[in-house]
Amino acid sequence: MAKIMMKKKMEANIPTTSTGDIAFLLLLFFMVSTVFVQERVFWVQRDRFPFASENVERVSRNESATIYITRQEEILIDDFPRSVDDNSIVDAMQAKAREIPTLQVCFRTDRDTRYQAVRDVMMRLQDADTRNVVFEVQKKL
Amino acid sequence: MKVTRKRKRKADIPTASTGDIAFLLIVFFMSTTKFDVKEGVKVQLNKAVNQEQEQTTQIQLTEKEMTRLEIMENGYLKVNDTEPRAFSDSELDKLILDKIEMRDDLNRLETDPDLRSTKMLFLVKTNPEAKYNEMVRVVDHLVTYRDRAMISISTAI
Repeated sequence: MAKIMMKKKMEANIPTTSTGDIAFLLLLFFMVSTVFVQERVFWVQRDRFPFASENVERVSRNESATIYITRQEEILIDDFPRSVDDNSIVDAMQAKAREIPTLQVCFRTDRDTRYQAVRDVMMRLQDADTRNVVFEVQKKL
Repeated sequence: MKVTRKRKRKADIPTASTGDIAFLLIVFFMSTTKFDVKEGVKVQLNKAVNQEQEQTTQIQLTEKEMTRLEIMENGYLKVNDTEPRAFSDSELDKLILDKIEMRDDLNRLETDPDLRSTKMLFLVKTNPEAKYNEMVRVVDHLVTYRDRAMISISTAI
């Protein structure tokens, strides 16, 4: 008569003690590296940006201010509408330049906007002496 | 006197779910984070006219030293005093390179060593009614030759 041997069952044990630590490290990384966007609405969507073939450079969010100019020629800085007829753009940019000496002003402008609207804002930037500008673009495919 | 010993109660905080809570928080941050990359064409504007007049003297530049690129309302490009016309991307590149080489030729004849490295100045003037896209297109091409040319975006009315 054959002898039947019972196999011993091995216990599988995965140590999970450090799972919490790993998770918290990941959490800390995301919390530290996240830079919150100041504006609540993207007034001009990325697919409405002008096209550029090359020379597209990245801009650090910490060193930049964003000016939105919509197709209807509304000008927005930090969600607040601004006008070129008063000093609001100059004041806003000078305040930002005091905080960030290497300030770069990013234009988020609809590609079909009349140049006049952009030119008027650029003149205000010249007045504020914040002359490093970036025309945000989408890459040509 | 009878002294009664207090029984010590064991304090035990259950930590088994800490990992789950942390992962839930991570998932929340990961799913709600919207990456907003800023990338574009960098340029520096001229100083304001009133500041510039105080600090500089006006000089007359010839066509060999400065190229005036005027973007018309319909997107056509007027180069110096030529008839405005449409320029394709490759034509625009060729035009810029030709102008830069013209300046380089002039530099070779220059006797003053300080002036030999002067770059071609491109003045971009855009019609107020032209589309912003047209201006960015021209500036994008010019920025390619940033090392060999100077770019000036006119905001004059």
